[in-house]
Amino acid sequence: MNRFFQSNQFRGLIVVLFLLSSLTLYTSTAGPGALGDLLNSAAMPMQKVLSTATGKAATGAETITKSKEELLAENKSLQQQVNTLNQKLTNYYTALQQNEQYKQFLGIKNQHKDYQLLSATIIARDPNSVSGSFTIDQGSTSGITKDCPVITSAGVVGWISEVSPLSAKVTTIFDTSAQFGVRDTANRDTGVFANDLKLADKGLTKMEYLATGTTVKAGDQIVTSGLAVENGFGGKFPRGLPVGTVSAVKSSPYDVSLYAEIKPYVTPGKIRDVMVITDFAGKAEAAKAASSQSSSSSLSGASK
Amino acid sequence: MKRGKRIRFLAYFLEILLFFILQQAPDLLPVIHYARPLLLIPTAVTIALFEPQVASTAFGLFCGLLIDAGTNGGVLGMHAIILTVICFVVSYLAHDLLQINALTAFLVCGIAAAITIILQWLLFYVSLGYADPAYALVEHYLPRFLYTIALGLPIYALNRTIALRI
Repeated sequence: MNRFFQSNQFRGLIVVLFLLSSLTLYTSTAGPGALGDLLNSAAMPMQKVLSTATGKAATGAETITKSKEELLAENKSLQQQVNTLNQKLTNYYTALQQNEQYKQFLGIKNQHKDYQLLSATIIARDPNSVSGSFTIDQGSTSGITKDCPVITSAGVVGWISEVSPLSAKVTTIFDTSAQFGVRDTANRDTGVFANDLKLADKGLTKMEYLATGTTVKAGDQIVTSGLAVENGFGGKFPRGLPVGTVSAVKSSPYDVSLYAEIKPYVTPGKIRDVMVITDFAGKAEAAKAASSQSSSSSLSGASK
Repeated sequence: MKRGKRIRFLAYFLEILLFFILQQAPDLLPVIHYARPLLLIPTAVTIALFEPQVASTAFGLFCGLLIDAGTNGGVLGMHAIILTVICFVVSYLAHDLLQINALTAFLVCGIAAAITIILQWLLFYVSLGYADPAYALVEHYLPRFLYTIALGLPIYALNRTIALRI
């Protein structure tokens, strides 16, 4: 055994471990740095090619792998949809009304002219993550910075947690650390978006700290409030981004408040393309407010 | 370095890159009970069963750095340290003490995966104060461990072929 500890290989191992420990300590405070960027940049082209190939293969396989019964059932369901759509088309006024609704939907886009949007494709999913974190094919060279909100046309997906020159890592709203201000569009009640793993596994999240007499009810639409939450991510999201719908209102097990279970509009595990909001009106102020809040909370934590 | 050895190391290098892309690629390996496998753990460990200490440690270090680069967390080096030490020890034991066969490979892969995944649970979940750590261990980390070691034997067979044929 003494021979083992005195061998050159063992001495080499100690040197390598010392260097790795220094790297770990450095990156735990300062981020991945140049080496992380180098590894991410080297892997990115291969990941991009493979994700494109697998995406096309998955789409092609969807039709090939279906059995005759599945295709018949799908055909029947599609026929029913066609009948329904035909009925709607014959009703001119209903169509007009729908058209108005679509115009209102488009109005949301007009309301957010300040958004600088950048489309991106998912090129990798983190197997070490319990919340479905993923990597996209756009990075700092495209103008992405840390904490940029990530959305789809349906609603909020998450935020940028790490940026390399050619790629960026996204933490999803299903992450246990996700906390931000949200608002009920029906009654303007506000709460804190939060998560726990058991709910996330069911595809649900929650809106916490609702007062006992809250009028939040199942079916209400929940959007971001744009307000910062202590120790949370909040202020970096613009207000009014759709998050999900309320599926139930329940009593908190820890205090007298209530919480609402939210079914998010987006399931991060099933999406392939996202949009990153690289800039929006009030972003700088929101980031400043969030950072001052986090620094004040860390000061109060230190004083304790 | 002999030509055969150079080709063998190149084959390992390409295998590691391929498995890294496979484990990171969206929609390629099926998600089983919220889990995706960590292919690079059995890859590094089974290479260490056949190669000398310096090469095994280097491949362990490389695999660990790739896992760190693909992990959303910002700490580069944690997996590198774990796999460097494991590969160094496995290579030492394989050279002097262990009989190299499928059972040994399976056990060594299991121990390496258990150490890595328990440390992930402790450092990335428990130490951050998230709720329900026992639930996370049973429902997320345990399936990841089982999925990873289930692929240990095919990867051992591949690396055995590379080590003995090239």
